[in-house]
Amino acid sequence: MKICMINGSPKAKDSCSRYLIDEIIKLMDDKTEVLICDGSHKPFKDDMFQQIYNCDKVVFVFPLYVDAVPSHLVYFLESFQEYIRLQPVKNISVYAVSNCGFYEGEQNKYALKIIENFCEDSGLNWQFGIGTGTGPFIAQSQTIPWQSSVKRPIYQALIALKKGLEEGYQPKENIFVMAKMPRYIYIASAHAGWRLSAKKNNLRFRDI
Amino acid sequence: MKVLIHDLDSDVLNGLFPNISKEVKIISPEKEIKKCIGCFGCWIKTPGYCVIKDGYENMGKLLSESEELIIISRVCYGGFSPFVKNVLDRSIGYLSPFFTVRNKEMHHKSRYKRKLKLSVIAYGKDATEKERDNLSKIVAANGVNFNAIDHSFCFADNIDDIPKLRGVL
Repeated sequence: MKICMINGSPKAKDSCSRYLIDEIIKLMDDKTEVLICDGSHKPFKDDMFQQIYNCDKVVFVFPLYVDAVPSHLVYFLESFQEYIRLQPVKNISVYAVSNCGFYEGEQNKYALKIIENFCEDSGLNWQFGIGTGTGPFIAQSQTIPWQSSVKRPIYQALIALKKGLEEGYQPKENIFVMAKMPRYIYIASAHAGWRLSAKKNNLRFRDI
Repeated sequence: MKVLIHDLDSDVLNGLFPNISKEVKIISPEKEIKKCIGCFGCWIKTPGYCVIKDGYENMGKLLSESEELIIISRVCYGGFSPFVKNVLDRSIGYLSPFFTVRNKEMHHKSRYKRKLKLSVIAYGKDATEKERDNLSKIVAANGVNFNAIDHSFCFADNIDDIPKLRGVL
């Protein structure tokens, strides 16, 4: 089986999307061939689309921007649909993992619908999506084991994705998760981070 | 002042609305726009202003001076078209990085005291019912995230029908 992971994050480092991609790949069995494609830097060329089209399954992993898919990924989807239109019909299954900086994973629900609609318009087989809240925490939690209680809900969602990719498992609905911590603590930690960032840039927290 | 973000050719926009008020600041796709790179510079380096200097860096400030944000966008998989979405992605300096809880969900605090009204006109004869429905829900979510006074969404199958939904700009 050949899988393509499309990274929709434009960030070169500290990207939650890239961390999740790497962790999903670690979960896959040895028989799975995995390709990672950049879904954020134009121009998107036909040879990249051909490589994606040659895969059996595609996973979009991206950050939530303003309640939806980032603009560069919308452009990618339109360009990829144009490519697909000229190819023979092929049975490709599509999954998506959207992550956001808010606490609630459910805030990703409209972004996942956009990927689902893209699949319907393009003749691809939408399977299911995962929406994760607490994205910045996940990105910075690489030294914390997946089995720890704080990260376990995210891990269980990734296991569901693994089962989907390897065994065809499909939950009834999209899966929404967040790290297991109280919302007020997540918000307080985020505010502490912004204050630190302000200080590093010689700004007062009131200035930002 | 009002801000109009649209994805139409200027000739088409002028044909639909020959007498656009001078108080409407028009953001058009003629000028190339760079994507948001998720650096948060508009929050932690130059608060309110994007660090990418391509002519779209002042969106946050522009919105803060506006009583209404009007959007005309093609429906694209149930979201905004790439240009319109790009401008919105580059506008988050309008908000504060700090958070609050609104409608029982975590959202950004407002940076500015003035609140705007969000009015969206979507179009596209190929848009499915499901896609229209998703975009209408995104507009409602944007209204909450931007802490708008009010939001509205309407849809036209054809571009020519847009003035029937909004007579004057």
